[in-house]
Amino acid sequence: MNNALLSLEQTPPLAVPLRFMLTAPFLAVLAGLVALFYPEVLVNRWTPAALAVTHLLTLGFISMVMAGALQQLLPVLAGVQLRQSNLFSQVLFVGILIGTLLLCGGFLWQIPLLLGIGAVILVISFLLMIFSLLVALLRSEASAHVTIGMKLALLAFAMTLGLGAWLAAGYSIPAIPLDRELTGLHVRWGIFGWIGLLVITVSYQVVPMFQVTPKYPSLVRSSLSPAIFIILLLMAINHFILGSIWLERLLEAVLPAAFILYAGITLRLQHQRRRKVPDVTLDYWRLGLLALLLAFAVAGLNETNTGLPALEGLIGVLFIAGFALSVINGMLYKIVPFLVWLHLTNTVDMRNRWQLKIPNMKQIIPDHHARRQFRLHAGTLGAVVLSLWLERLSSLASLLFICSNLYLAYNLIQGALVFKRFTEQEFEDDG
Amino acid sequence: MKESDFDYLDVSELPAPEPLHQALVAVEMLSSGRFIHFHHRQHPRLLYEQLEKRGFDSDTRRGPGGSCEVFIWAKDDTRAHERALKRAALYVPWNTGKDSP
Repeated sequence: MNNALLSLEQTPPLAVPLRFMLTAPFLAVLAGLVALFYPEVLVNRWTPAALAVTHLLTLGFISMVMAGALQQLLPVLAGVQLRQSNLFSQVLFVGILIGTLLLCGGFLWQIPLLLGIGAVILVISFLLMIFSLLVALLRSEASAHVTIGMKLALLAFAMTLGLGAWLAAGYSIPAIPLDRELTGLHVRWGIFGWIGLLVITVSYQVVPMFQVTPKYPSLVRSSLSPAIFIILLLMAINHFILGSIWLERLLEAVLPAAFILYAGITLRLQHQRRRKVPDVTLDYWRLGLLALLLAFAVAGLNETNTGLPALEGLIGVLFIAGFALSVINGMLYKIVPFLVWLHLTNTVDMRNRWQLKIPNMKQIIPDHHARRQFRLHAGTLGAVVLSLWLERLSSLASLLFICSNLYLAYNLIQGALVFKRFTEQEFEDDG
Repeated sequence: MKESDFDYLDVSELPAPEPLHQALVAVEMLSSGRFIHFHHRQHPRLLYEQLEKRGFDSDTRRGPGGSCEVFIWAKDDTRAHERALKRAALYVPWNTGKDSP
């Protein structure tokens, strides 16, 4: 066993992942504010406000958290360190933050120059991240099960960025046509490729580790991510080259099947967990996976041209807010306390103060706060879904969304402050 | 081997990082001549570096149903070392090539 692969000392400074994870909820709050002042966001996904809200959530919240998580996961799971991790993290953080705000401002106020500059900053920042992480992964001696999913998720993100950059160019440069048909590919690569593959890959570690479930089956761990990536690749090839309608229909059926399989396996594993004690992360995951299954069911219904209004909006809400935001919220309630605990352990080690009692996970973020925020999140989802048909609920839904993310931010920040308070209290005499 | 020669620590039903936390508490309380038999459902990858820093050594084995059995003793405790290895010999070596996460 190569223990050098798994060293707490290889863990980057706590600020590296935390600056992303603690900032992300505020960008979700911003999305809520946009929805509050522009209630048409849920009516039509092409409205400027809807595009702004979508990208505040997918880039500002989801990708922001994932960028922080990857910088933490790579050293611990894949045994590779990024050079100058703190500087890299700071540059990436500023790039994502400013790029997202400019891009979304450009969408919202229909200022092509703002949108274009934001897109350029985001593409540069994310490509820097993707390239650095891919190079690090290629150097890793960790098993393929660990690294293949991350590599494919990063490549999928690169594809999402490329499509997004071309669409942004269409918005902001008059000479370039805006090819709206590309948005379907952009959305698929973003949601199923980048978000989906990374959630799946990370779940192979965090679900058994934190939820005390059996491991995912070996066949699933080795083949599901490559299968999903190949499906997405075939979709792109079909779109740009082949143009076959039957192939398009086949792939559109197979892609949901892969995710439904994943959701089913995860729910079954969670049912088989050893100690059946209440757990907020588990509840978030169950909510997220059920939302994912419902999203596919609604998407299937939408294909039959029922004429039911607001189904497209419902699909987007279920995928992004229902699935992605729920599982990420749940993961944050484990990852942030775990990181704080890990760094407290490291700090105690470095000072040989092993007799000190480090706070446990439930003392870092108390369960009752996490549970209340989960209930608020679930209620918010319900309100958002209802507001698709009852417009008079849209302001309430937006306010609930804002409050839910402010409460999430509060919980995470309080958890992070445990590190500061503990070290100041216990080590203030050490100098 | 008498039960009084070792402490049995079953962390197989605990979520991370409780197993690591409990192992580190247990090693600090280990008395001379005794070792810890640490029973977990998965490989405790972060444990070894912590044991090394605190002056402990270990032997990892595979238990029934793929469980992970780690035998831990203080480096300068020869008696505990012998006892730990004797108990560890009841299990097959941990093949890390198969331990894919």
